Order: sequence, then structure tokens, then C-alpha cells
Amino acid sequence: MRLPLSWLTSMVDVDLTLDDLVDRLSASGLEVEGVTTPGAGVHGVRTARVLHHEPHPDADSLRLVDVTGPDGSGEVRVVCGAANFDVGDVVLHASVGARIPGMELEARTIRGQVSNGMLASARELGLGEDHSGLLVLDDDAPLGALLDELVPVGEPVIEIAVQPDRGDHLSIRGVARDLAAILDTALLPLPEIAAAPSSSGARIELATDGVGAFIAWSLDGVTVRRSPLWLRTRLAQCGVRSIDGVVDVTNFVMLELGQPLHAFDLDRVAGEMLTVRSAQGGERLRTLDGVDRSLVAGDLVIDDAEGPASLAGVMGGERTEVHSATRRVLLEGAVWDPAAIRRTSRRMGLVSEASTRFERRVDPEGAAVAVARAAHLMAGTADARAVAATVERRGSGAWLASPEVSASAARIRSLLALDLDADAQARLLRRAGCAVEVAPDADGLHVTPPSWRGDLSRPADLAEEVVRLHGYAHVPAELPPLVARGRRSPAQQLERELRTAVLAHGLDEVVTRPFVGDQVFAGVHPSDGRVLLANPLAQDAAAMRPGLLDGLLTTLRRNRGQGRAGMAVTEFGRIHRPVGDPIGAALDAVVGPDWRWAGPDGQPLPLQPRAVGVAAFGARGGPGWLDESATWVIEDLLASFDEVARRAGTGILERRPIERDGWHPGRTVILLLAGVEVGIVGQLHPHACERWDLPEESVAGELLLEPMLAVATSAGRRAAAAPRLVRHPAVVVDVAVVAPESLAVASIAALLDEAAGELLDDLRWFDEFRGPQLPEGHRSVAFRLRLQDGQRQLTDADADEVLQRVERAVSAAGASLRA
Amino acid sequence: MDASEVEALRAAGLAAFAAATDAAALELVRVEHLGRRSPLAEAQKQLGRMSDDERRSVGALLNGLKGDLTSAHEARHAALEAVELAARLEAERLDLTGPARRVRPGRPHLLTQVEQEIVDVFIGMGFSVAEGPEVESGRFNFDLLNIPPDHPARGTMDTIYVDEAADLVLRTHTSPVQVRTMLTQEPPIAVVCPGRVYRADAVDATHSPVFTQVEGLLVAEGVTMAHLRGTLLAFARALFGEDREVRLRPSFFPFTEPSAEVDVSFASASGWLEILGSGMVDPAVLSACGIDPERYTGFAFGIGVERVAMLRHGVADIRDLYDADARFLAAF
Repeated sequence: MRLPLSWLTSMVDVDLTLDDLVDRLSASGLEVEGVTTPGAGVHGVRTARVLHHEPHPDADSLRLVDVTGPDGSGEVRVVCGAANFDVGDVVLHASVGARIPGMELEARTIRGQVSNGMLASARELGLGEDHSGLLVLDDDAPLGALLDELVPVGEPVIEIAVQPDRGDHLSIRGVARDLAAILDTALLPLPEIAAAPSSSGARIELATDGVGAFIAWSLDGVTVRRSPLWLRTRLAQCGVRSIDGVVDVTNFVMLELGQPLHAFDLDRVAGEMLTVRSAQGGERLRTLDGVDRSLVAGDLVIDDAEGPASLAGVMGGERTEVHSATRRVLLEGAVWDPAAIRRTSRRMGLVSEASTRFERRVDPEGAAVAVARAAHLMAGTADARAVAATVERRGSGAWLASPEVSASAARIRSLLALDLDADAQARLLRRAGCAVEVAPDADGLHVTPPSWRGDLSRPADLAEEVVRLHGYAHVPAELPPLVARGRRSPAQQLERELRTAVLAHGLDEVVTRPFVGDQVFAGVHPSDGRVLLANPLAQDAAAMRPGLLDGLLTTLRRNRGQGRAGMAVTEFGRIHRPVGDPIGAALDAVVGPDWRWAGPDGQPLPLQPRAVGVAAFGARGGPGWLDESATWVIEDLLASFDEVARRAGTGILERRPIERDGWHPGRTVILLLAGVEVGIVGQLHPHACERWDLPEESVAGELLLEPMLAVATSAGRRAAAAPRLVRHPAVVVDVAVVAPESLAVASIAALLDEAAGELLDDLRWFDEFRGPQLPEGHRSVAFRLRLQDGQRQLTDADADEVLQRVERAVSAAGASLRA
Repeated sequence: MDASEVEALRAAGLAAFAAATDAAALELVRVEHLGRRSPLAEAQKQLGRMSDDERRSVGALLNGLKGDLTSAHEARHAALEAVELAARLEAERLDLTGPARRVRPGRPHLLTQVEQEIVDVFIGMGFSVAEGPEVESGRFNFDLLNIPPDHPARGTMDTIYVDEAADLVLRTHTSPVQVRTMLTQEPPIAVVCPGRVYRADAVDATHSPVFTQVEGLLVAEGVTMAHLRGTLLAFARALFGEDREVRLRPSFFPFTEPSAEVDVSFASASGWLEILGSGMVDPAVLSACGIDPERYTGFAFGIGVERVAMLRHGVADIRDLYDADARFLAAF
């Protein structure tokens, strides 16, 4: 809502500087979004009458115009490009030495003709957007008058944001009234209105509860012409386009008093009666903007004998529109149900100045005054004469009422932590226009809000009004007493630690937008299941991510595109699958159903388990790094997930080779917990690398976190047990196992672990060898066994015994020890 | 061998040891003067053939000579070692004023850092942390928060729907976590709810369809607006500096009454920057969530983590937080 300063201060006694006024408004819930000064910079522009004009001899589109001079007489020659004026019209002349925004005028030769300044359009003067021709004034305007003395052009216009529950702020009068309450100062009298004619006019039938009041005045003798300068100026300051002296008045009064009005051409209204009703559906109406609209049940319409003539509260109909030849006007001021207007406006995608006000509720008592005000103004702007008036009311909608609210002053006082007794609160509420009765117990407040305050319906609303008018700045700052021990849950704490564990492996955390398109890179538990969005923002963001890898690979691609030689990233977040997706049963099998979410009636929500993704490509080191030639490899990612499992306490995850779309068939494993897939790590398939513009040997992994986090129950996490530190020296035995390729390293390690028995302190893989010395299809895998006993020092005999057991176990598995 | 010959050997030996300039030369000198074929050793071999008296006197002379030469050798050896060590240490000199060669650390994302910092502040004030789903029921996201079905915020212009008929939305705030908490816990309740939220906003420098919130809720007997202000003042000072002040301005939210926008003092044109919305929990919300509004009051607030991060770290474009440029990641 825009508030031209002189308009506002014509209605309320304000004695503040502009800055202070802005501060007070913002501090009182009328947030100032900006202050503009449309037309600032206009100096020395005067009214002048067109005396004579002729075509420019050397330019078809220009005219040579003689206008009166600065004292209202004499003749000044101007070259002009507009053609919307004739001899006798009063226009605005920026003479040599005058200024308009952005320009100082001087005598200029245009195609061989001297122009002494220029004739100005509305836009050039900051008086609106119209640049189609000159701004032409009323014929009786004084000549030689300075524009800025005729109208407040260039004055500050304050723009405020209006809260959804304060429709009363959508008018100059409404803001003035609230400002009077805020500043505890006088609201000045209403502007002049016309007396209501005594004879009754159009017959109106109100056939729906969607209307609260309908006031219709019949105006005769109308001449539709351009609006006077003062009216055009006000509309321009408020950003409303000027149409004519009838429509402009309806808009002016809407801005002034907050009541939208509509003018019908009475001669175009069919029949003798208007009916206000709720549409049945299937009917059509062509609105003022030239759009054919189909109505649905619940839309409020005003019918004449030919059917829908106006879309109530939103926009008038084209068939009954006021036009240049209109002689009789039906001026309508009505009060509509906010919810009905909101529905219609939203469904049609049609937001008008009227609908904006009605859906925030207009003052049910304000329509009659607004119509009378408009009738008074139209007498001046369109020669209109009020001849008849009809007033119909239908008062059953709850939205019309402002019933009494009872509240406890003590409760309000303690809620606000303000030292305001019942009388002090009553005084504040009375400033807002409420009728307040303080009960004899000096606590009960019985408050009847004014008709324009639909937002004051409960004690909490009264509390807000009290603190608003008293000033939010007076609320003290005080810490609440501690009500509980603040904490993260054990699972939340663990998740934080798991993130730290992954980052410690050198991966940078990223946050990506969790949407995907059609093509998805499948990670853990791939499925076609998608949580699709009903109104996605883009085609490539049509669903919630079913996994984390698309976001990570996109990140890698973007960075590689900028020339980075390598990068490793991780993301922690939720992934999304439909309710029946197989990932659900898999997680249930490991952790039970507690990770699932349900709606209000217990209905399952889409699956949204937490997961961690990792991805990397290329150089890990580089100039300046400890290991300049290091690259990111699968082992980096495996190690980070191992550490996650170790910290969570689930133990190392079992690895099983897997062939899966998008992944290298020989360099990918799934990770299992209790036999159930919970993760995947591997190298991208060359085709995938190509698709993502990544080098070969790019690697990725994804791990479901719910099984890790489930370890931390609400009772807390099990504390890790301290190891017994053996002080007897260890014996180290290296073995090289010659095994068929089919025997996995993990299997060999398991054999050695089992065979070495209790003396084994540590088992480490350290080398792998293939060569012609070995049988076809075999490799040699070297392990280091560290043997130790808590009770005694081990001897060579102990080592030999372990070695023999290892040899037997290895042979039994079809392998042998290499000499 | 007589005394003069011993003296000659001593003089020659001491001179030779003193003249040795490195370990190898010193070893040659040692072999020549103290080795098994040295004149000293040869002379000692002759002792057995001498008379007792002669052997005693010559033996003493030779022992004296051996002692002196051995001492000379050891002294020279120590001296040469010291010189060599000094030379090696000099050769090993490193210039440590240059950049340290690193093992690259991974870093938490700025949003994670700021979110954790905010959450830690509230944990310090007695709040616990609550979480909830991102795909949420409209009843939890809207209805129970006093946002009726025809409210503008529920339109597809503002809210991303998964299924309009089933009333499934991408949560537009973490308030549904507050609702879930109130439905399952008895007051006193003190929780913060961090997490991702969604709005139907196209991506530009200041808008993102996904962003991060930390909302807070305190419901107990006797909670006042002063408690709200005190809590948010403590938050503002923890995040932005102990010299900060907060300013409350009247505002409107469906789920709070009174409602307040909160500004933090800043070196900006107006001296203030808006950082969050808050208010006293609307009694209708308490009732809807099964809490007696006659007995309990509460406050709630919602902090935009992106906004705090951008203000505090001078991030000019919200897209930088989601585009994961390596240079950006490395800066925090």
C-alpha cells in the first residue's frame, strides 16, 4: 500500500519528521518497504494553453506548437512529437531553464526548428506510466501555474507491507486511523460526502450468504471525460492507471477508504433487478480485462436479466462496463465473504485491487460512506447527479461480526511481561477503537472491537494489540528458567561423529538440492521407485532423490568442468523412496521399523532414510601436498565407511563383489550388515564416467545410516571397552598364500584368522603378486601375522605351530603357502 | 728400545693424530701407530725376551706411550665427529618458513557449521534437538499450525506437493516437527528443530527451493514474551557478537500471537537487519496439539540458517551454498 504523505496527513494529526514517521510505522507492524518521491526533480514546469499548431515542415511525426508563456500570455514555440491535443487544450510546458526528472531544458534545434523547451507527458513528469501523449489538463486550469504548486508532485510516498490479517491497512483512512491509535493523536474528520438520495433505485436481491451489504446508487447526467489533475496525481502516486472521471473516482475512494467500488453503465444493465448469488458452475462471464471466464459453483456473481454481469469482489463484466458515452451509472459498494473471494481469485489466477482488499476483509460498515464519497466526487469529475439509492443487507456470515471478547488482564500482563494493569490495557485498546469495559474485579476485560478490526477475536489478539500499541520495545529480555537438560539424542550425537569420521578421510562436505530428473545413478538398493513431485519447479527436478549419488556426481562434474584435477566430496542427507520400495523391507530386517515416519492417522509417509554418499575423482595431492602424486582410489572410500561402521560399533561391514548398472563389474562391492545390503562402494563404469564427464577410475559409494544410528538407542550408546595392552614382545610371521583367483582376500584372511587362533593380535594384508612362477589362474597374497600372548613371551616353537596350523587350513581351502 | 726412541714414537704419533683431517685418515694413523704391526706393538712383542728389570722399565715406557697415543686418537676422533656432525646438521638445514606440505583435511559444509553452532547455543540454554520427515503430511505442516486449507501459503505457487489429493507436501518449515513433539510430549517442552525445508521458489541469488531452518519451541507454565526476547538476544549475541542488540517488531504468522519479526543490530544503513520470525505460540496451535492453553504458554521462532551464514560470512549468492565449488568449500 502506497501512502502519499500529504494524503495521509490530511487525515491524521502527525507531528513527526519523515524518518521518525517511518520508524514508528515499522515499529508498529506497518513495515515500510520503501519511500519514493515520484515526480521529484520537476521545477519550473507550468501550465500553458495551446494557441496554434502545424506540422513540422521536415518531419511527419512532429508538430510545431505555439503555447502561452509563463505569465499565461504571449507565445512560445515548441517542437512536439505528440498528437493527442488540439488548440485550446491546457498542457504542461517545461520551458528553457525548467527541469524534469533527469533533464534540464534548453533551447534546441530539431530538424531546423527551434524548440523552447518541451511539452511533457505524464511519465516525463513522474505522474504515471502514460507516455502515449501529452498530459492534458482540465480546460479551466489556471495558465502559467507551476505544476508543483497545483499538485504535490515529488512528495514522499511511503510504501508499506500489509499483514494478511490487517486489511484495514489497505487504505489511507485505515492507516491514518491506526496511526492515530499508535501515536495517541487525533484522527481528522472524514472528507466530504454526498447526501443519500431519498428515492430508492435499482432492485437488489441478495440470494447468498456470501454478501453482507450491497449499496447501489443511481447517478444521472454523467459525462465521461478525463480526470482532473489532482485525481490523476493521487492515482499516479499510488501506482494506479488513470482511465476516466468515473472509474478513477471508484479507485480513488478505494485507496482513500479501503472499500472497493464498481460502476455499471446503468443503460447497459438488462432488466430492473440485480441478483447477487452463488454461481452454479458452467456459466461464463467476460470480465473487464477481455478474458472469457468460466464460473464454478461458489463463485459469487451479480446477475442482471441477461445473466452474470460482474464477478463479485474481483472484477466487473465487460458487457456493463462504463464507456465514453455512458450517461447513467449504477455505483455499487458491497461487502463480500473473504473466503469466497480468495477462492475465486486463486482459482482464476486473477488478483485485483478489489480482491486483495475483500479477501483480507473490508469494514462491513464502510460501504455506504464510500459510495456517498464517490458520488460526491463524481459530481465534480463527471457531472454525476445522485438520484436514487438502494441499501440491502444480509448479516448472517460470521466474517461480518466483531463480537465481544472477554479476557483476563492479569493473563495478558503476565504473557507480555509488561507492567500494565487492566485500566492501562483498556486505555490502549480504546485507542484502537474498541469499546472496553473493565469488570469490577479489575481483571476481566470485556472488549468489543470496532467493525474494521476483524483480527481481534480472541484474548491472544488483544494481547498483541496491547503490546503493539504500548510498544514491542518495552518487552524486557529475560532468559527462561531451564526446563530440562539440553541435549542431542545419542543418535544425533553419533551422526555428528560419523560426519567427522568421513571428513577425516579428506572428503569435503557438500549440500546439494535433493531433486532428480528421469535419469538417476543407482546406488544402494536400486529401484525405479520415485517420490514424484506434483508441481515440480523444473523437469530435471521432477522427483525427490532416491539416492545421494546424482548430487555428488553433478558436483564433481561441475568442478572438473572448471579445470580441477581432482576432488572428493560427501553428503549426509535423507533419500526418498515410495512406501512399498524394497529398501524398506531391507532396512526393517536390520533395524526394525522405527526409522519409518507416519502421518497423523498412522498412515505411512514415503520412506526417507538417512544416508551418506561419497564420490571422488582424480588427483588427491598436487603441488604443495605431502603426497603430490596421490590419487583418489576406491580404498579411500572403503576406509571412510569402515571408520563409520567402527565408530558406530556395528563392526566392519562384509564386502561382496557385485555387478550393477553404472558400476565397474570387477571393481564394485556391496556392503552388508547381518547379510543385508546397506551400502555400495566401487569404481564407476567407463560409460558412466563418460556420461558424467569424469575421468575413468572415478569412484563413489553410498551407505545407509539408519543401521549405524540405530546402534545409539534412546538409552544411550554402549561405551567401547578398553583393550588389554599386552607388554610381552610380539612375534611377527609373514606368510604368502598362493591361491586361486576365485578365493577372495577376505576369505583368505578369515582362514588365517581362524587358524592362528588366540595368539593372533593383528592380521594385515600387505602384498599381492601374479607371475609365471605361479600356477595358471593363481595369485600370491601376503599377510603379516602379529602373535602375542598376555602371559608369557612367545618362542619360535609357538610361531612354527601357528604356521603349521595355517598351512593345514590353507591347503584345505585349495591353496598353499609359498616357500 | 730406549727412552729416546719412545719419545720419538710419541712425538711422531701425536703429530700424526693431530694431522688427521677425517675419519678415514684417522683410521690409517691409528693402524700405523696403534695397530698390530705398529712400532709400539712390535716393541711390546720384544718385551718377553727382556730381563725382568729391563722389561719393567721399558714396559712402563711403552704403556705410557700407548696410553698417550690412545688418548690422542680418542680426542681426535671425538673432535672429527663433532665437526662431521656439525657439517651434516648444516647440510640438513630446512627452510621451514614456507608453506607446510599438508595432508588434505576434509571440511564440514558452511551450512553444517552454522547449523551446529546455532543448535549448540540452544542446547546450552536447555533445549533438546528434534527431527522429522521432509515429505510431510499437510495436516502436520499446515492444519495443526492454524493454516487452514484455503490459506494462500498452501497454494502450489508457494508449496511443493508430492500428492495434493493425499495432502503430502515437502515441508515448508520445520514447524511440523514442533507439532509432532507437542503431540507426543507433555510440557515442559524445549526443542530446536533443524532441517531442510522447501518452497516453490525458482533459484536466484536470494531464493532457493530448498533451504535450512532451525526452529525452536518452548512450552511450559509461565513462559512470557520476555523469555522469547531474552532467548533470542542470547542467540544473536552468540552468533554475531556480544555487543549486539535485538529489536522486536509486530508481525503476523498464523501460528503465533503476538508475533514478532526480530532484527539484530548491524553496521547497515538502518542499523538493523531482519534475521528471524517469532512469537508466542497461538493458543489455537496449542489446543490443536493437545496442550491446554489455559495452563501453558510458549514461544516459537524460526531461524534461516542460510540467512545467518550469508550475513555473517558475506555470502552474496545463496547458490554458492549449494553449488559446491571447491574454492568455496575450502574457505570455511
